[in-house]
Amino acid sequence: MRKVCILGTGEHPFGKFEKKSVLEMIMEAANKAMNDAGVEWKDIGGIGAASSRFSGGMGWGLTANELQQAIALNGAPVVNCSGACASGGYALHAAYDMVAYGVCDIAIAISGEKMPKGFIPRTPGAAEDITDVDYLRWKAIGMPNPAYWAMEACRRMEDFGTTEEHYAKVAVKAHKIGAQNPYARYHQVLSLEEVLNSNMVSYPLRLFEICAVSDGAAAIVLGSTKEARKRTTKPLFVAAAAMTTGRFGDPQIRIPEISTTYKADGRYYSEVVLAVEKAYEMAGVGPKDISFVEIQDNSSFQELAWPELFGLMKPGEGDWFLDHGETDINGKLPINPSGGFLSFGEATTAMGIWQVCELATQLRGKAGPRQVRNPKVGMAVTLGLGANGTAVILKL
Amino acid sequence: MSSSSTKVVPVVDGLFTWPSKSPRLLGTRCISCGSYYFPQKISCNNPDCKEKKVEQVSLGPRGKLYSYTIQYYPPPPPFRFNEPFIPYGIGLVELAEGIRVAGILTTNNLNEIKIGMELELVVENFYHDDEGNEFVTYKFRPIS
Repeated sequence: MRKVCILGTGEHPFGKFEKKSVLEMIMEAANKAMNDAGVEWKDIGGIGAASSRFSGGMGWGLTANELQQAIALNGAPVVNCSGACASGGYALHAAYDMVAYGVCDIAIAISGEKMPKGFIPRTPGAAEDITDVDYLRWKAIGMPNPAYWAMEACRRMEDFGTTEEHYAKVAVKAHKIGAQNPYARYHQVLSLEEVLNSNMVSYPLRLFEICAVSDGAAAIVLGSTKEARKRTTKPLFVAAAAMTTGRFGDPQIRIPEISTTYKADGRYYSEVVLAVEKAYEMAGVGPKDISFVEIQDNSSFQELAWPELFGLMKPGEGDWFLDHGETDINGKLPINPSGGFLSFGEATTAMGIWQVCELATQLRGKAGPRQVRNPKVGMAVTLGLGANGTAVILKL
Repeated sequence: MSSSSTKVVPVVDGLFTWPSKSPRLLGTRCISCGSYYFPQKISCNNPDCKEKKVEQVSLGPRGKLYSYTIQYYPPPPPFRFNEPFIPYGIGLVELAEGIRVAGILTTNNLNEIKIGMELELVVENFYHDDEGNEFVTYKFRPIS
């Protein structure tokens, strides 16, 4: 296997773009990434793409093929990846593999999504009986996604003494940082009082503590070390691109299940914890080496709990880190220096690539007012429906 | 609410015993490895379990509250509710079988809900349809 480097990144701003197709958004992100890398379509030897249920891909998740047909029929191999909210991480993994195994010297990972307005609807034609838990969770209980995060958040309050104020503080921090990111959807700085006064959605989580859904796109050009050295004296390495799935016995109440067959030795949030452990192993690093992380803050809960599960802090220590500003830009362990999902909203399948764009921006020292101090190693983690997990580590 | 012309029906078939004075949830037990599942499953998904012989079992009726939430806005269809919408509690309840099951709580009062509290299974009104038929679902009620 060869080492793989980041050659360039491109982000499309997040928000609602009524008059733009998802294909146009992906093209814009891809062009930005290619300009950043100094490559043209004739140089691209492979594409890894995230498949969306909601937009583009000719209805079959053929995101890469659609892009080729629009802009460059270059004959390159493509892999369209379906992993729900982890699709972007899978697409990056596919492009990484193509370069690592010598299929090509330069590959691009692309993703983009336009989300439906309001609630995410159920898949048309799905079963309406006890064989489909996604039916049961709505029909027999009424359990939307925030209710799942809320039950985990409520248990954390019992286990560690986390307070409603802690969850609000996460949102305050996210929006403070997001306000300084030109690609973020929400640029409004929020006070603690404003977050605490936002509508309770699923106790203990409030509206501003839960991510919205957005339209967005992101792309990354990857290449061999030789290609990287043609462009820079300081190559940025993809030290790990790991993908895993959940493991039996996990005590988390996982969307869309209505029960948990947990075991005493089950790993909590196994799909992401196992991905992170695999990534540490691939990169030859440990939690102490990580300078900053981008994690999937679907709600404030994840930002407090996940870093502990990844060994970045001790169980229950997340609240202390937050209270002391240690997860802020200048803290010991900056979390989500992009502003996170809370200030971007989630374009589900794009997030795994979008996160890695932020890692690269930070590690190249180009993050401007939200620049983390002297970062060396950054990690990004996504979780997707179906118990999909991905973790990526970039290293200078 | 039900009269001779309207019916009382479970919200989904095969989820809980019905009709029953002492309701139970309908789940699955793996005879081979002893794992419990809810709702009923066609197979055990323990990767270390080879035989995966499963049987239908009834679960409950008692459990302990592991965690909870109060749902403050109405979810989209196929969720249905009687107007006006009233916030409802949802509990994650640990049953004696060693499985945690999510279900509506009969109370939405935060002062009455405590992690670790004992609960029992009941089947109660959930919503009425346009014809006045009453749909019932399983819920967890605190044991006082």
